[in-house]
Amino acid sequence: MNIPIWELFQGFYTLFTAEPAVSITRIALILLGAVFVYFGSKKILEGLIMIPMGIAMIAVNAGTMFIRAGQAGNLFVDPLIADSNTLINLLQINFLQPIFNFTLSNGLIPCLIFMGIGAITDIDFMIARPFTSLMLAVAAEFGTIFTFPIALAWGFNPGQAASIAIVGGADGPMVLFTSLTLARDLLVPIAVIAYVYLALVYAVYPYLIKNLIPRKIQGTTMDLHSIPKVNKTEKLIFVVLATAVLCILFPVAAPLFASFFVGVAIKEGNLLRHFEFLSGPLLYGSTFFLGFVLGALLTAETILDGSVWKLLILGCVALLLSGLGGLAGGMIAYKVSKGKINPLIGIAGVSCVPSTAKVAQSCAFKANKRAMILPFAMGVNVAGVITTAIVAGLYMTSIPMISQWLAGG
Amino acid sequence: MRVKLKFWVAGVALAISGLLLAKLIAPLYTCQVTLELLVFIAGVILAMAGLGVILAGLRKS
Repeated sequence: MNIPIWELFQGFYTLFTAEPAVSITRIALILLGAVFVYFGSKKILEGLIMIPMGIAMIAVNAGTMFIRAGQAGNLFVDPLIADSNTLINLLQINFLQPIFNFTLSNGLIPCLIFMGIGAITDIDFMIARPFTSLMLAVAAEFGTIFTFPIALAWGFNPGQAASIAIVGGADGPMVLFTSLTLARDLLVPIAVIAYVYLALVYAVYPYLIKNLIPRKIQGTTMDLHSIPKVNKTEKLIFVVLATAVLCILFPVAAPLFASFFVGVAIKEGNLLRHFEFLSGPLLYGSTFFLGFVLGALLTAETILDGSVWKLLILGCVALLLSGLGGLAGGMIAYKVSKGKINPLIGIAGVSCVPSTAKVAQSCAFKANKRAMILPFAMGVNVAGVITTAIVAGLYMTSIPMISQWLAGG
Repeated sequence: MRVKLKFWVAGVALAISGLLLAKLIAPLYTCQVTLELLVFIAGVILAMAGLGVILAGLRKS
């Protein structure tokens, strides 16, 4: 037996056999994973996603080994398998391959998360100010709408441009679903970028608020008595109608609408056991596996893809534009209502449930200890989920028309 | 109760008009893509406005 001693430590040895750029990126991703875990545990970033994602990033980039014929790989997941025989083999080897193929790459996980989100969503808050909530949510779609032409101008095809533009909605499951439908080739980088950025919403949006909205206005109080008590039967009828209308309009996004509204219907229908299942094990279990699989997908090869830096910039632009749009909408609502609406609820139109609503409340609370705006911010947040789903549905339905239009048809 | 009913009727009528516009009228213009897209988007906006009117009616509970 003549085995070189360094081949016993393949995780380390593969750092020297790969190209320098790959090795440096692997080390950087291991460190970044550690940062995610730390920030997630300190609640600076969203821990539910960041901790499993960070651990998986560390493990997959440290645990690289020689698989066959001196080729480096890992035992986690290979997202780029197209050949069915190889896939069958890998399903029995890579431990996260079944989760990737049977829950993520077919859009199941986004739908499961949407069921959970539907179950924890209270539409009463949206009913308190329906038009204001919807208008603010539309304003916060600024990024999802205007990043699309920017991405087109930067050389992406319409499907890819729409997928990266949806990052501006700050709704992870929606980004996954849109990418799966319109740009499967960019699913991994877009999904990873989207979730990394969503975690940054906690850290970046407060700065946006602090620098753009005067402190006195940030502390504007709102009348909590304006939240109505709505009959559950009426809410159920609305849910049934909304499901039917949205699914007829956007059949491509029907799985998302069905998942979201079944969650809402179970909550409003008082099905306690189902509600507990959707809002607990299903939501948190799906979120955990999503974070873990995304972390395992974040390898040096993914990051070094030529289009990633463009996606990083466009994702950032989309989220910034949406945040700015939401705050601009909030300021208009503040002026029109003569100071009765706190403009910070506008940023909750960016539909990262419930993160952006919590950001709005926390900033308002810092400015004025009596400012309770969370219920209204949640109303805008829920409207944001619906409008982002509509924009996603609009993209998925109209991309063939837009492609034809761009081609001069 | 009658006020609420008005909201429901108006909302459902708007939503159905939107659906008709987006799903029945828009496909008639497949040879004029810009027009098809515009009619489809107008239908979506109308249907959404219908749902908004129903939501506003629920507020009257």
